[in-house]
Amino acid sequence: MLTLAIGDLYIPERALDLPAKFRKLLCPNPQSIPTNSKISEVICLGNITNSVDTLKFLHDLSPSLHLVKGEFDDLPILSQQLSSVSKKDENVGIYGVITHDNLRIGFTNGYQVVPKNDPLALSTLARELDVDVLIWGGTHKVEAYTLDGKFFVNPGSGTGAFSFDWPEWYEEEENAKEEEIKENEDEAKPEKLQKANVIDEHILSEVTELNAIVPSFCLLDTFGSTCTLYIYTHLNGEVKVDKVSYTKE
Amino acid sequence: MVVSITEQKQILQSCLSAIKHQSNLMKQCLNENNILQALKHCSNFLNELRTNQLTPKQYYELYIAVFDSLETLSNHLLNSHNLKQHKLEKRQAALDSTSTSDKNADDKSTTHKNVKNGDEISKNAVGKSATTPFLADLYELVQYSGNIVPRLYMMIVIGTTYMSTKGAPGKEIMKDMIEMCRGVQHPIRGLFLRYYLSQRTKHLLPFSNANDFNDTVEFLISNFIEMNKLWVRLQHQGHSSERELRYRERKELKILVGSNLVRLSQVIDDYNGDETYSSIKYYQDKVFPTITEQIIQCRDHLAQSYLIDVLIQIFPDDFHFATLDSLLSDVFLNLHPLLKKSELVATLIERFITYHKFESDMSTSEIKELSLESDEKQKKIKTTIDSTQLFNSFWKFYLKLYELDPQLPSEEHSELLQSFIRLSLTYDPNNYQNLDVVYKFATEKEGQIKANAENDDIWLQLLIVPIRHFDSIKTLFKLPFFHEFYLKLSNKQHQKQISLEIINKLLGITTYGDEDGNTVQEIHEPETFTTTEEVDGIFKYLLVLIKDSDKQNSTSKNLGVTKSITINKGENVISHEFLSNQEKICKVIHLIENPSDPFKNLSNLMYARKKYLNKNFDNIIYTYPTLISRILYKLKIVGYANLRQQKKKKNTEASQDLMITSNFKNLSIIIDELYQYHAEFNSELILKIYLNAASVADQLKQESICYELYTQCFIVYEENLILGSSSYQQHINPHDSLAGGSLQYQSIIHVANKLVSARYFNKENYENLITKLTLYGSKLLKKQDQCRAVYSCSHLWWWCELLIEHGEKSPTVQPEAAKEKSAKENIQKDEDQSSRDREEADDEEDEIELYRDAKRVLECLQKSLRVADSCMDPYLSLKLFVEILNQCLIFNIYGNALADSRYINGLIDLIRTNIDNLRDDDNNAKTDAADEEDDKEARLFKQSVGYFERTLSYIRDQQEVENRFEGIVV
Repeated sequence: MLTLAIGDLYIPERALDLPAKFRKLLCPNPQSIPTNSKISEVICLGNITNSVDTLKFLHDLSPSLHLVKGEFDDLPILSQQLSSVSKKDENVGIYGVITHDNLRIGFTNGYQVVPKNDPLALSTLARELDVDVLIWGGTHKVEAYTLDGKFFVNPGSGTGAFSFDWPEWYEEEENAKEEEIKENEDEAKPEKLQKANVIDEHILSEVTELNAIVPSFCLLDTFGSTCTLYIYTHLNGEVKVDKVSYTKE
Repeated sequence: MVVSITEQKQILQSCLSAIKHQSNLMKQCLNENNILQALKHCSNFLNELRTNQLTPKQYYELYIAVFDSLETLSNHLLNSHNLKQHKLEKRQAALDSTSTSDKNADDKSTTHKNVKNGDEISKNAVGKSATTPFLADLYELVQYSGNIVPRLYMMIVIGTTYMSTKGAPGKEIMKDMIEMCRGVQHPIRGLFLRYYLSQRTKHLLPFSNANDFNDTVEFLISNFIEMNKLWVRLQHQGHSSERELRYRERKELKILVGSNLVRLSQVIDDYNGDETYSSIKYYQDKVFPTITEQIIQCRDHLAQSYLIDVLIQIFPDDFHFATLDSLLSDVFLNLHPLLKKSELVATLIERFITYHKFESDMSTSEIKELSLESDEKQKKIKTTIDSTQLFNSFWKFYLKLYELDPQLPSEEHSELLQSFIRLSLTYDPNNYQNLDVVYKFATEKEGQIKANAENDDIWLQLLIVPIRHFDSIKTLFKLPFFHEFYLKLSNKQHQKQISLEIINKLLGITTYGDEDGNTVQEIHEPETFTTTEEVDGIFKYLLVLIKDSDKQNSTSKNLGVTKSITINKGENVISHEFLSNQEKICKVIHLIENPSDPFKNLSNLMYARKKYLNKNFDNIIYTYPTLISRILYKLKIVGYANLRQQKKKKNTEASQDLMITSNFKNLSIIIDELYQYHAEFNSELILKIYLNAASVADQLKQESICYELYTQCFIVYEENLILGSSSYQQHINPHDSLAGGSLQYQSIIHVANKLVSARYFNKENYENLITKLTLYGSKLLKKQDQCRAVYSCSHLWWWCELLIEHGEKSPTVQPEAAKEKSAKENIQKDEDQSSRDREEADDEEDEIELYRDAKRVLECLQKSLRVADSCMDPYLSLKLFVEILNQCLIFNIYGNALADSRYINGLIDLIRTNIDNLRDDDNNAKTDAADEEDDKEARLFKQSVGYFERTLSYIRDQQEVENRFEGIVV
């Protein structure tokens, strides 16, 4: 059973749209509904902000869409938009739990967990919800790990929407290398270029890189007590897929 | 005279059968080689063509039947002619051979001389009959036929057959036939007769030399003129009540007239001429003036519209380019006043466009083949048509037309202008002057040529065409009058439509129908805007959407507005369409991008807000969050770059710092504006926006700004959130720690989650803020909110993540250390600091410095425990206890020495006691029966117990696997 997990889209607040390649991948057959015959459920971790089109896209992908509120969603508007898309009354919640075979899967945006993104806090949450798999978001960083016998999945941001949180720093070695290069370059450059308002291009591209968010989503293939996770990332115009497996003990 | 339809059918049938009968008889006679009798039958069936009681269609049926029979006759005549010719030739050959043998014999004897002479005579006689063959006789013969219609048909069939033979005086026959055709002046009969003439002469027209060619052209033109006269005259026949009928009939006959022009075009095409001959010049000098004069002279609506169309379609484009000016100003302007010139112009322009496409396709394919010659080829194309000249010709025509006919309906104007735009776009896509001329004219004359405001929509296309055509929407910026004209559209809906069209184009969404009729959306990479001018250029088209006010009172929902969204706690409704338009505006904001100059980018964003986005304060709630996010993101990039630069140079660049500070201040003004107008219903969102800004300011080491922003957060909280209720009214289960709780609780959680990642405050400021927040938490109304807020806030005193870059130090954890350097007197504090440092070094294996205050954490946990205990609902107390236990476990793992095993054991005991008590109560209640009501509570109880048990088993697991939680008794 395939479940799509996607979140933190921020359309239109921080991104224009899903990458075209993602759209194509997720929606190979836009004329029929559901538009993707393989995905049986879609979990959206919210932060769509204001885009009925995107909502409709997610809704039409599979027979069932589970949507939870993200930090920047306006709950009344989101609920009404979803209702208009699905043609029935919808109540968008803050978290949800679904059961696939032997696996209980919980999902929430995670902005209400203090400290946000803390593995122990999330583990506590998983315990409270009594789930084996916890899908959370809000960080725009795709990750998956097993902790205390439970599986934690963060599908990241489907659009690569920027984040105002702290960036993930490079490894120190890499940093050192780059600095060496930079220094060499700087020596070559004449001083007059360093005007007050001009930002060094190299540094600019470096910090842009540092703050860039890679668009990503996850597909969960659940069977019995096993969940195989496919992580899709959109890097330099190419879609990359990684695979992680988890089996409940 | 008037014949009913059924009668007409009968007449037709009888005519057809007569033709069939007579033509069979004719064929019999032909087989018997009785030509005279055959011609008599032929004349008989041709007589049927004299009828005037049939409709053109029916007459055409007769014509076809007759035509076939005449072909048989013609073939027979031709065959017998050839046969005779053949025999003659054979005989001649035989005679020649005998004469040569005679010559041989000549020397031998001259006695045969007489005989030879006699032979020569007979030979001459035979030769004479060969040079004036029997076809000529027949041609003379049929002229004695009694009736003119059969006579002329027979003349034509024989004449043309004669023409097809060798040595016939073709041109004389042609002249004769066309002269004779004047004899039939009945329109339908005459038209078909002349059509027959033109069909029969199709392949026989001579054009081997200039003289022949001239004669042929003359022949075709005169036939065309005569036919057109007949055709026009048909309109005036019969009763005036039948005018409509006549008109329809004429429409059916138009192809007969047009065929002449087709032939003419073919002949001109086939004729190669000598070196001095140029087909274009010939057309321009000889053909075009005569034809167009006839077209103008006939003053007939149908004839003019049809023939001009044919003229445009059948002659090559080069001809039209050559005669364009006179075609437009001499011909088009003199046509029937009611004639729709726009259609003719559109046809002509479409033709040119197709030609252009064809030419450019050709040239590209040629370039591929012959890359070397490509330059020359392209030059050739350019020289053939001067695109500016082309446009000017049309434009001159239009201005004259406008002068001559001020009453021209606005549809005509619109259509004409659209055609001009298409022309200009195709031929000269980079010449924006032409387009601007069109829009300027439209703008200036709009008042005069526009009948009323409602038919605005005919002007819509005028604006939409170029939008769809341009590759880049930036092209519009070069057309100042495009916008002027856009503003003249009096219907706001139409303006909106154009604006949306522009946005869709901008965002690269092209919607079109595919083969199956489904709409397909294609998405291209959108363009970005880097300068203020470009921002102006695009946002002026968005103003109508920005200003758009869609907010209605919720009562209007009952008045038929069905598809709508209630906002502001049900006070107002907005439509889905409105929201989606606002979404699009937001997306355009994203296109203000300049990756290489973020400061310029920032000022552009600010500019867009000041000049455009704040034009309707009701709507800023939909657009400002996007704007603010973008500004903040750019600030983050600039700030990080600035920090890097400083670090590397080791000298502070004050001016950049200053620019960042001032940008933060401007940003704060924008958020403030949002707060000013939307405090009532959207304070929570504004709080979150302030928090984002604060978070970025902290990362950029802008401590004072960051502190101010947090203060703003607290102001928003105190002014609006503390008393506000959640905009989403739904029952929140107090047991559910994740359900969200009250608006106040949520706000505190939001702030806590940002503060917990703040790293560049000094200790005093940081503690001020977190103490204040915790205090807010402890004052929440509901016990569960209070308890959860306080235990959440406890994390503020116990950092778990470094977050900052390696090598950086957080000022929060080392205020004293900094002071120590400046002043050495505080030895006491110094000792404190070092002891704490040692403590932390023990806690963390690597030397990461994190702000941690174990005592305060414990205080918070104690406080939340007390609140939980004071709950009236024992089940809720239990749930909260378990939640607190889990928090303690987190602190324990993170090394808080005060959340030790003793403390946790106490908590576990407390929970156990509570469970036991509740279980007893439960059992008692159950024995008292009426457990239905208890059901809910029982379920909650079971959930809490389950959670507790899961927690215990987690502790056991951790004890086994990770060696944690030493001393905790499970």
